[in-house]
Amino acid sequence: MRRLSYSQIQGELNAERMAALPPFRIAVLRNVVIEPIEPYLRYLAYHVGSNLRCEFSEYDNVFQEAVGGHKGILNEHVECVLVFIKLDNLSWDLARRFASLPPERIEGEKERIKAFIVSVLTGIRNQTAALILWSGFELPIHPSLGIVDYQQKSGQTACVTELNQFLRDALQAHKNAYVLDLNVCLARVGSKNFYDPRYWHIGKAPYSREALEEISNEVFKYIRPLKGRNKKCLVLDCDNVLWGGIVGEEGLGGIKLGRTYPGSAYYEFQQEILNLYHRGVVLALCSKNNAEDVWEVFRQHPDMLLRKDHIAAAQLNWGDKVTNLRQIAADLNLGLDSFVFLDDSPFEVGQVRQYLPEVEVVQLPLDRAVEYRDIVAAGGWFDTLTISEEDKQRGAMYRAEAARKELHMQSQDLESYYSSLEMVLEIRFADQFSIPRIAQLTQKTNQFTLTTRRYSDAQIQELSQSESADVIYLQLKDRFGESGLTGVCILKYDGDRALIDSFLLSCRVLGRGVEDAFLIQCMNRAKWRGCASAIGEYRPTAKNDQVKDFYSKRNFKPVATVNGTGCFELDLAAFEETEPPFFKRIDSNLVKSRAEERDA
Amino acid sequence: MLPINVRLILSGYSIKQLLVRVAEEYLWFFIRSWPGFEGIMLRYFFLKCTTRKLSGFCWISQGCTISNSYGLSLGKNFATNRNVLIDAIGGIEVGDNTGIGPNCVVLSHEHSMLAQGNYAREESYKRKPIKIGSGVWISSNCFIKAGVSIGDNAVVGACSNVITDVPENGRVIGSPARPYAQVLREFLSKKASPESANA
Amino acid sequence: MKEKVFQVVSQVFGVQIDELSEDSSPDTIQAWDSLKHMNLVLALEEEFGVRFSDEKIMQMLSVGLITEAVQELIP
Repeated sequence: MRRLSYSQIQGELNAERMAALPPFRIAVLRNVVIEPIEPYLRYLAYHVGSNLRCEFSEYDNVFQEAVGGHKGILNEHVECVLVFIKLDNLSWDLARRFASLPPERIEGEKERIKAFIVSVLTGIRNQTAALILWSGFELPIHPSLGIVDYQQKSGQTACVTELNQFLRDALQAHKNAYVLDLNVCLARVGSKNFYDPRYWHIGKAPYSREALEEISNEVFKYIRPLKGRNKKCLVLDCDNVLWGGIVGEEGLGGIKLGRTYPGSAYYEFQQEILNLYHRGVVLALCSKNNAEDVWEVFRQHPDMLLRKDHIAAAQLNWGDKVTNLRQIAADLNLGLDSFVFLDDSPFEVGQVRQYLPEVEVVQLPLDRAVEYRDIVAAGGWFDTLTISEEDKQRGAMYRAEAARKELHMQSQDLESYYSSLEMVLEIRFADQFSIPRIAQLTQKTNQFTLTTRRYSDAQIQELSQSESADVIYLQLKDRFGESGLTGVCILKYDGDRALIDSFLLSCRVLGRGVEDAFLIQCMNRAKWRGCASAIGEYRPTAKNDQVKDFYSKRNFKPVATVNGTGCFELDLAAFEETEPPFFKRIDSNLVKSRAEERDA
Repeated sequence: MLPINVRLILSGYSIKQLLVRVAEEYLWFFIRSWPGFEGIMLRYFFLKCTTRKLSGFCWISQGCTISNSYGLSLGKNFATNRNVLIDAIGGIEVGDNTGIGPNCVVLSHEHSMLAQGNYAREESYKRKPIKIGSGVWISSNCFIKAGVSIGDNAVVGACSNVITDVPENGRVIGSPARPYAQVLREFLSKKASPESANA
Repeated sequence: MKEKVFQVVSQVFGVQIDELSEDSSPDTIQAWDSLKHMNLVLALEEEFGVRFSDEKIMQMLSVGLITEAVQELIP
């Protein structure tokens, strides 16, 4: 994404190609004039593939818009609500007259503001479930009490901090609401460049152009994951990026990497990358080197922070980088639009930008290695709204996947490969710990799912407790690691027929016969419950084409097609199949435990 | 110990590659300096047989030495001036309408810079592909190192050592080859202060 | 420099450059209101690297006046 000037951005946005993109509505509630931020927001939205429309509330009637009943700018079409409340306009006393206020007045103002925050927040939530980004109150640059202010708990800084804390707690209590930290934007831009006193006086617009640019960047760090456009993989060149110099020419001892100058720039850069790894970003290498040279540095160099284990995929050859990036995307099973590519050579950068426009390419400035760390830290491409356990384990999972691929290549045939994986399946009924993950799986899985029915936690809870339905999940573990809860089957019973309401598997565990074993287990369960036949449905969508023959290949007879949904029937009385033999163990309590429950 | 070229030949050339090498040594000897347009045609037909890909006509002037031409892949209207040394053992890919000036050396192999006295060993001998784009003009007396990529429409100035990639539409000159604007700046600033010019 | 001013004005308001003249002002250009004037001032300041005083901002309400104001600040 090129950095354009303010006027260039507005010129670009006038083009007709904006109209072709899907619309994206943002409502802005504010008590300051902040309209000049719109071009920056629209430009960033254009890069996320949306045509943004900002609707600004009337100046300083945040309360009325939020709480008032009339259908103003907050409605069900709005996808994001930005709230810009500046303390100066909300409470002139606290912002500007702090030194003259008696303590009761300070407390009174604080209470008023807290009540205001709560009622506005509730009011917004009543009207829309959109993402709320509320800008935190800025800490005073020149506190009213001077240096004494920091020393005491009753100072202005402490007061604003308390309000910010309250705001954060209030927003966390509601789902999908976050604080937009203006203080960190202020720190990045610098207070001399953040505020524009001319326009504050002319038109109550406090923020300068640089401030608006930084604020819009921060806003989009929240909106990108909302739209699923955050990046997931970082691809790195090696020479002059991870270390100074070219390893093929200068050797292990000649490259610059260490804790003192000049290697310290690269050392800190690697530390920053390692931070990203622990946040769940996938790392890959794409460099024109001999592979042994590069791995030698990873193994032997004493100051090398990145290790081979951290790298999920590497293409180290003399071919061109466009092909290599495509290969990495295929290996990792990620789209190229989730890649960020760092390289110092303008030739490579130009080539990749030309042939792979969906990849975010960052040219690291030549001879300015000391700036690399800030470039990566300020990038903000990988921000997500939460960091889950799965994110932290992602590196390990990619390693396990690479190990499996290698085993596959070494195996003679599929059967021996599957046996050597030593897979252990755990098939159980849903319980309180697994219900959230089951619901999440129904919502996220698009490819290997036969009916694509989405359920919430509460719905899964209801189904698992009902007598006429079973919610069954599958956990896979093999020699290389755990894949976690990766399969769900929901059976609904109607007389002597079992309906397979949902049958889905995460794409991580495909291609190992897991789906056969899972289906057989579930059919045995249905048979054990006394059903004479099982009905499977297939609802075709854009993404689940791979399962259209799933039932017909497994002895289900196609029966009817209702509204595009194919129905297939299996005669359970004649069903005698057993699971494939290459599983090391299948732990299942489907056929026994319910009986024990009934007896108990 | 056998001389390096004999050892290389014994170490892994296929029959076809061996034949091409022999033809280049003995047959090219006759046509290397064949004068006039006849010579150009002879050299063109030779390359038509041996190169991996040859689209269109190529103009190879007198005195040129092309080794391991099975690794060469040329575009349309490739032209070289006199005495150009090309070794395509690591693969050289050239685009359309490119020209190489006289006395250039384009080698797709190199010895390791860390060899420390053992440059002749197998481990130190590296082959890396060279990729030259379309519309490139490489002036006289240049050296193109192994593994380098030169983008389309680039210009490589005279007497330059190209050891890193040249971006598209770039103009580089000097040893090592740097962007022309940068070299011009340095040159002019040196001119401005006569003390540094004398030093 | 005058062309640059015309270009910035055209980009901010979305009008073609040929439709602009020295006399273009909030009366002649529909999109030019006080909020858009702020966008224009910010864009000009970035483009030319200058900083106008608040009085000047309130006064420069036509393309001709803008050109003069920029001229004063550029050495």
